Amino acid sequence: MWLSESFGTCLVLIAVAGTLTANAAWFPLVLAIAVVAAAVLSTFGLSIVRYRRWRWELQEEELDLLHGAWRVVRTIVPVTRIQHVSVERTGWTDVFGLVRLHVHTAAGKTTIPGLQRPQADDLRDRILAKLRTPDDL
Amino acid sequence: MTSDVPRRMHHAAIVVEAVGSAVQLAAGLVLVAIVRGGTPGTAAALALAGIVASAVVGYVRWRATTYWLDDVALHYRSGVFTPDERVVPRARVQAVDTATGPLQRMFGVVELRVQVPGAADEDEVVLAAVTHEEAVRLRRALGQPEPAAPDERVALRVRHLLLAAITGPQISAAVSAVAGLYAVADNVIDVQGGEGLLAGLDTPHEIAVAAALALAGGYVLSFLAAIVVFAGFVAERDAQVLRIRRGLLARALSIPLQRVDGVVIVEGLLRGPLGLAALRLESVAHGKERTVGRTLLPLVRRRDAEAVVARLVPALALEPGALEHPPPRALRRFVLPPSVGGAVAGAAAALALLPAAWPGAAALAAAGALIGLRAYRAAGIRLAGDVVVVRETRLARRTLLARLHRLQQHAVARTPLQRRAALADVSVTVGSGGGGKARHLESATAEAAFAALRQRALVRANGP
Repeated sequence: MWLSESFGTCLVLIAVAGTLTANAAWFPLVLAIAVVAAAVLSTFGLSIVRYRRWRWELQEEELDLLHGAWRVVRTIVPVTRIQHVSVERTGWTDVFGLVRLHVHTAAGKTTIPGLQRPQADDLRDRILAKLRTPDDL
Repeated sequence: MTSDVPRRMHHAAIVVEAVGSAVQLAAGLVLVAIVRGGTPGTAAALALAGIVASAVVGYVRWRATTYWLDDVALHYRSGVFTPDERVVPRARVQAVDTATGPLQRMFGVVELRVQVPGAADEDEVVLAAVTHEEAVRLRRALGQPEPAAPDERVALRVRHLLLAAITGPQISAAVSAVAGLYAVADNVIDVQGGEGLLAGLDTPHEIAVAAALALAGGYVLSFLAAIVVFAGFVAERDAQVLRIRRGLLARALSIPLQRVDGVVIVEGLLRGPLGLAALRLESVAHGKERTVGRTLLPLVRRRDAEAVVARLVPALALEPGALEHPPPRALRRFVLPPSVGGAVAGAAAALALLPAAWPGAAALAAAGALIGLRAYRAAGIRLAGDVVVVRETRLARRTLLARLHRLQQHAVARTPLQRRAALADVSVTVGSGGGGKARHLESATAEAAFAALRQRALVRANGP
């Protein structure tokens, strides 16, 4: 169970950039620094919580996911509903040697972030092996 | 069945195509003339040119559109410069719909639509005009039964049509109409050098009047749009198929009953207090369509809603019973956020715009509290056989009735605060990507519902 730190780092960058652009003249510098610090801390804190929370498990008939930093969500995707599975990697995830796995159902996709490549391939193959029985839409 | 020669549509298709493009083209050209400050004479000439051009286009399109059947599929080819060929395997045809608009009626022909699951609207094969005999032949060849006498039929009565139009404005249609009119009006006023008219709107009073007029105009337009869209609305079903016909333009939609995921009973802000609701269809094939396309019935009395749903979609019939509601201690969780939100919004507005308006903040907070109370009273979940009922209130109150074994996923969620209070949310997702969420349920209730959802989804998945 892995979550790329990249996710958290990205958020930090976004938060910093956002705060700086919002840094209009009337905005006291001290306050700006405090905001940035808070953003950095909370982003790191949140991504650590998020990382430690993420659980996924492929059971006989369903994919069981547990995630969320503040609101903890447990999601069940019945395997029969899964239409296809895709593995996404970007230049950024490559830096960490990680990939994202997307599980597509008729309703949209569910993503498991921060998997190691072999893990993702293995999970994908296991899900696909369970998809042998076609189901009407 | 042997291969068929490529066929063309009935000649009336030329007219149908031409009229379709003529209206747009002529309107566009007239607009151009107005904007560039031409005389009515040039406008008329341009409009005429538009009509002639679209007649030519209609003819060329008709020439270039052919279709034929072979052993496995329906082939359809159209387009002049970049011909587009579609092949619809017979086995994939979900329904063959016919519709008769005013133009088709004039020529005694029908429009035929071949529906394929999952295809977007524009990917469907539409034959704008074929004879009745040809429609029968195609339908038979594609293995679709002739529409039998429906087992159930619910028509929208005129009184309900008016009510639907009054209470449920087609807001998007109205907005675009108003925007279009505004653009035209803007140009006209410019051309006449009447900028003074707009510039004259400087007192708050005049601005308010202008805004009110624009709103009223929008409302009237949306009312008319709703009438056009929903007039003659009929929902009917036989043993296998649900059919919806609507509108002065005679749109038709068929959907096999087994592909219906669920129905949402929507009580809008205006309709709820009047005891009225609309029914919306949830299905994979039509998830991406606009709301109009997903309407099962534009207006129904709230207390009849479940019975009507059961008649039209028997799989969603419910035994009488009640929802599991959130416990009383959840009340403040429903009430607090909207009232705080209202208070903050009101305070911000008072600070920024008009300090004297501070009582507005209190009023908004009170309104928020009422909204929260309403949400609390309605929220709940119920599992009954193969049906799950989930009710929530955002602005409108939505009651989702969904078939359990067609749910795409389900989830239970709680924040640390909810955990401390032993409360949890349960949400379900249907094939369109929509769904429902029952908030702040007793934790044990939520877990029981979640477990039952999982278990029954699996039972059905493994079933015959």
